[in-house]
Amino acid sequence: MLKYLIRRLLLSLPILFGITVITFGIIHLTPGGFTSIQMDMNPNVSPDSAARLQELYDLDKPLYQQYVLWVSRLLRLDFGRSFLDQRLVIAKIGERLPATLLLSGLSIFMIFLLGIPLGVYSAMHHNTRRDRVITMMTFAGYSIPAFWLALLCMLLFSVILDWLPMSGIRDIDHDFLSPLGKFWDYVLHLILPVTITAFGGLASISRYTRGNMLEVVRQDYIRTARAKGLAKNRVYYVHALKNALLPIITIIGLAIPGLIGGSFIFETIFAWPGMGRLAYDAAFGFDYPTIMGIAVIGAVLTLLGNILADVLYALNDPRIRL
Amino acid sequence: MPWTHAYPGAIIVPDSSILSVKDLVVAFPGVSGEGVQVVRGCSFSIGRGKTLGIVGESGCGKSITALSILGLVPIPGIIQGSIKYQGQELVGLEEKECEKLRGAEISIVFQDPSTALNPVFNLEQQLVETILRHKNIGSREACDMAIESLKQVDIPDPQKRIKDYPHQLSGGMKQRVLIAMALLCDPSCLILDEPTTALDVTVQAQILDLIELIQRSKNMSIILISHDLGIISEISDEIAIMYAGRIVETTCPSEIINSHRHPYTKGLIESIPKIDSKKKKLKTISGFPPDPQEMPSGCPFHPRCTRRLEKCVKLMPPKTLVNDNMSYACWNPV
Ligand SMILES: Nc1ncnc2c1ncn2[C@@H]1O[C@H](COP(=O)(O)OP(=O)(O)OP(=O)(O)O)[C@@H](O)[C@H]1O
Ligand SMILES: [Mg+2]
Repeated sequence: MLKYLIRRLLLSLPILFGITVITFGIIHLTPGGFTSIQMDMNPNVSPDSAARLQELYDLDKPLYQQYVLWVSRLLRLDFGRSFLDQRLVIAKIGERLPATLLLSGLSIFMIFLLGIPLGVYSAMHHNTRRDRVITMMTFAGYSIPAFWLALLCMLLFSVILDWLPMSGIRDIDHDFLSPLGKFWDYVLHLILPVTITAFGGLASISRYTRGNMLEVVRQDYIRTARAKGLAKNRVYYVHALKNALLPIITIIGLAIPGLIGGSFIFETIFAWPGMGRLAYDAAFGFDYPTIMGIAVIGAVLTLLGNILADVLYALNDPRIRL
Repeated sequence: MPWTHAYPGAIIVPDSSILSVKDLVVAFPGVSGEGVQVVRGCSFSIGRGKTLGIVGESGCGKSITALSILGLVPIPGIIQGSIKYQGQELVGLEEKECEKLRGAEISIVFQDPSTALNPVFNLEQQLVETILRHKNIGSREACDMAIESLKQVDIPDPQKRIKDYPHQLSGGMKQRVLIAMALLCDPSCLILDEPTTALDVTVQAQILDLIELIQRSKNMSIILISHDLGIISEISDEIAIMYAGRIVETTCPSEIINSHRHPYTKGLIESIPKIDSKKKKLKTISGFPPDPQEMPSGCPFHPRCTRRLEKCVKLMPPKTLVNDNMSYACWNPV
């Protein structure tokens, strides 16, 4: 197992290298650039000072040299400073990451915690009215645009009923609340964003689980389990589910990078101070160090997510040896 | 006159039989119409401690008959008729009540051992849960019982083997484990659906010996399903020949070779290969068993029958009794 992990981690290095080369290439080849935003439309900038600014940020060097410089700094875990506000990239990410982790973590947790049992339940009651009701709901989940639902829910729960805060992560008076009050404040602010961001994923995971379950319950070993006299719940939730989980584990691995990526749309709608906003602003401001920082962390998490999925897979399926 | 009503309960001797199946019909409703009947009025019974062998070609409904006894006919199959276990009617029994019987009173070993064990649980988990389901004992004790059961079916080194996952076992071992699993709670009735078809001949013989041994020590009734008449006549007390969802002849091993009556039985016997036979080519029954969706009129065997009369095409032959445990359904018996 340990040997496998080390091998996988080593194998990930070339992939990581490839990802950084491609990302670096793409953002530097994008028309425009940091200095052109600052100066192209500004009549007061002389060509001379433009060149000086390029030089300051090493942007005058050939691309490969810029890349080598960037990598050599990265190896010292130096992500550089943001072009936009000169702050350390690592600090900028550090202050945004917790909010996104909290939101996407809870949302992914909800998706799997509710989606899987919902799918199993649906499969257990295959072709009955309960199954059809769930199927209808999941199709609604697929097809209703979540940003639209978000606005409707904000209107209903925040404006009309005034039960939940509309946006943000905490109240203005948050700092004056008791510890319990602070916690509750976070909870209230999380309810709408978590529900809305989990909505679509919940629909697909429950649908996917249902499909896998229906496939698995046709297998001979399920008939054996029933022939032993096991109760229906045990047959479905233990014997069938453990087999049906195998493909779902892959999806869990794929969900990990989303954990930090955050969603620009939802973070904007809910004024959530997360990574999605940060990445958006960085991309439009040609803030190369920040973009690359986010890309590297994202790539590392994606690779770790894949490894995690493989390990979970092996833990669940004895036929797979690591 | 439908054949199934000709002699209601003809071969059922109420007191000595532990399980009796009467006029069993299993149908799968299709997308359109009333669907297909794959078992069409099957009746048999089995005495305590006895072995009933059911023989028939592939697709004649043997497995479905076995599944209907346990109430495990795949959805959307519909069961009609009567299945009585120790006087209790099983057709239409509540699922919860069925669960109590399955594995405890009536056990089944399925046809294909390679897919019958859950690949993601080890043997211990799969054996112990059966015991815990039906017996009121601790899990330590249950584990000891499980090891004991593996020992009983001659699995070497059971303490170690019990931690194995199904993929680590050979086909013969899996079959043994499945037999052990079926026997865990000392059922009174064991259904073996082609227990040896997937195995090579030597292992086959071992498993059959093992089954006979266990049966004698526990006075268990066995329904042995096979398409191999040789195996059936070796260990059965009674033999039922099944064709197109019906029992067409009941007989016993001592009589089957010399005094069979149904032409289909004759065909089956003639198609058994013999080692010392000089003949190059085996006799076979010409044609194929009928598709359940397009059953021929009259006797379902008539298109393949060499003794066909005009009557056979139109009328279903009734069951004719020879004695208490011998009967046949044919207009022109051998
Ligand atoms: N789920 C199902 N839906 C519809 N028809 C089915 C279903 N399962 C089985 N059948 C049909 O029922 C008939 C009897 O099948 P069964 O499995 O009992 O045959 P069998 O006698 O056990 O054959 P074999 O010797 O190959 O095991 C077959 O014609 C099969 O096509
Ligand atoms: Mg079969």
